[in-house]
Amino acid sequence: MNTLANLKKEWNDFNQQLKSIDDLSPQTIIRQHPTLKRTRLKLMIESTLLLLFLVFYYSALDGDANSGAVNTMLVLGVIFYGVVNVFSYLTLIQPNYSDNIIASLQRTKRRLRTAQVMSLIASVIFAITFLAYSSSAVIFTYEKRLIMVGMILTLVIMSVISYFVWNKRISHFNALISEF
Amino acid sequence: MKSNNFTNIVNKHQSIIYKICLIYRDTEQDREDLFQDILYQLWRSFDDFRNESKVSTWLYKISLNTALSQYRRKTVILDFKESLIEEIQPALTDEKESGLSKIMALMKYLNGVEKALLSLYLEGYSHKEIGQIVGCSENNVSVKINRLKKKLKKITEK
Repeated sequence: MNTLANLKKEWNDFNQQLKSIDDLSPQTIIRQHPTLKRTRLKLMIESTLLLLFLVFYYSALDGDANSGAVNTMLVLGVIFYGVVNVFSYLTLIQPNYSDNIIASLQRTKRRLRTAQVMSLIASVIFAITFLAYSSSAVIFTYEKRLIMVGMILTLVIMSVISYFVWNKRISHFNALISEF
Repeated sequence: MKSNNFTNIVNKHQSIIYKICLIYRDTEQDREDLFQDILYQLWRSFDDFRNESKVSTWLYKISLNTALSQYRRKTVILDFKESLIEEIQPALTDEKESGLSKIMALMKYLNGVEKALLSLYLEGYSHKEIGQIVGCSENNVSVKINRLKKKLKKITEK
């Protein structure tokens, strides 16, 4: 097959030196990494928002009207959510290589699956603690019940969307592994 | 010291990384991002690389894994319509074309796994070596390479 021989020649003849040593050195630094830069920014914004929530929720959302146990539950729920965020980031910055390509893909898939489950658990815990906090000091009226149902639905929808976003990533790896 | 060794190795073999970026990404910006991502993954795995395998094998393994692992939205899938074949034909037959233009034209018809297998095959690895890099049996590689050859033949000779 002449075409294949031509392609082989073309592939092996290609020997461009596109970057100098000075260009290559800084590219190994994690701060320069394009994808991780975006992920790190997202993590920093989310962490800052969670921190602000912890600082201001007590005065802004009548923390003194709730029991100590409910306050502690909410704080722990928020902290757990933050810890899972950091865990997801650390999962992404881990090098994803193994003995061969299929083993590497399987390893990354396992990590994503763990991050997916952790993320879902964190969302559910955060939702439960927030709802417990919101409802513990409230005398329910019809309107307030509607608002509560709306909040529950929003949290459920957000958790389902998050689950499917993770699933899409995992399916990408499943497809690759089965194609090999 | 480690940094210098690494940079020298990558500098010497950077065309391998660049070829992977070319076949897996369509725009210059995406290629640059993938290049940096591959470099980062190589750097993180450099401690585990102990010259037990060829430098090029290590580079291919990490580069292909990085290119395949990035989840991206699906691009438009091309099917084998005659009009498309005719459009691509000049690039495949024009002897004046230089660089990787013929390969690039063909790659548009291949999925990520096929691109990986073809790049390893074009580099000159045996079926056994490809199996070791990919993580499947020599027989499985032979079957897939044969299918790939038939597919390429269909594209180029139609």
